[in-house]
Amino acid sequence: MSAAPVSTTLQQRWGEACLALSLSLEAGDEERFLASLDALTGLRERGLWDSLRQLDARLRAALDQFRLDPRLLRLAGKDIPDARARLDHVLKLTDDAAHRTLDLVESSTPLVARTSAAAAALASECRDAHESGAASPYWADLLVRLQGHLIAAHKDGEQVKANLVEVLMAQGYQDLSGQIIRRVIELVAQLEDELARLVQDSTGAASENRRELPADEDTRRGLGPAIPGVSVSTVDGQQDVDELFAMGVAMKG
Amino acid sequence: MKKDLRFLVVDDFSTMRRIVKNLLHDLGYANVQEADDGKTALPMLQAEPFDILITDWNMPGMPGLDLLKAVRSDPKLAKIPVLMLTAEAKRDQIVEAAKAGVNGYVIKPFTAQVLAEKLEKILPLVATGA
Repeated sequence: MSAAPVSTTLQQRWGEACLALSLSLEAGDEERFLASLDALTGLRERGLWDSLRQLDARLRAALDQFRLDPRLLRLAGKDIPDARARLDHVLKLTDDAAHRTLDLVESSTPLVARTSAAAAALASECRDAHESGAASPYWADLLVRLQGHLIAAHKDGEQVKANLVEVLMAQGYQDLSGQIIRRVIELVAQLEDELARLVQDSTGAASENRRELPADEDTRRGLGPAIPGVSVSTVDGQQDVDELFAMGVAMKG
Repeated sequence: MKKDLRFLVVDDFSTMRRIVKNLLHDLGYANVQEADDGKTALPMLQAEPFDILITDWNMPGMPGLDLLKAVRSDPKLAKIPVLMLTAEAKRDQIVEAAKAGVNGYVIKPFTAQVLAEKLEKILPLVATGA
């Protein structure tokens, strides 16, 4: 039922040009063949222009809706700049935390290295002195240096301990940036919904047109059905709504 | 005595729970349990005795303020000291939390010292017999 009118349209639109093309080919008439080919491509281009115009109209309708939709306006005018500011702040938090941590590591490393090296030197000196049976003045001197080392080791150890607490605290950025990012994720989800709705509104109207147009395909304006989204003008949209409404009423019984 | 105190730390970010747990350990408190929001915290509070509750505000499920109100309205839990540890920075919020009966309010980011100070302040509130 629906195949016949479609093929009729196809034949109406292209049949004549195709026939001319094939006849001139069979006849070997190059001049006529090229003329027919030009006519055919002309027809095709007109179709392309039609679909371009339709695309343009849909884009304009979508942009109008974008400009007028309060939710989208809020998203574009306030929420997205807000989100940018939030992400900038996240960047700063992560940057600060990373640098703070690196600073602390850099300041802790020499302390640990110094303590470790001094401990090793003193340990080997103690061993040597013990093995060579050094005299008591030497032991007294070593003891003083050993005490000095232990005092320094204690001081460095305290400093490293404090640094480690700060390293711990610096990780708080994850919580803070996480909360901020979570908000931005919510916003992105909202934006996704709004854009999906926008796309659905513009293409949805087009698909309604496609549904409607087979009934109107005898009209001259109905030539567009083969191209998705023939028309999204308000009138067409209203017709679609009326049709759907009528269909719904009919289905209800 | 002090080291026996039982802490419940409630925060949806595990990194923050670890930070607080480590700080409490440094202060000498070894008995620390964790929950990731009010919904999980409340049954824990009802099931076993805790001495101090430290909670975030902004959490999915049950936020910290709701948890605070639930604790305050439960006769069994009403007296537990509650410390809020949160990034919520509006003046109204802080007033509201105070009105709802929070015992301390630490804003993130915070220092180990501030946490220790606030804890010190609420320690006397820990019930000895109740």
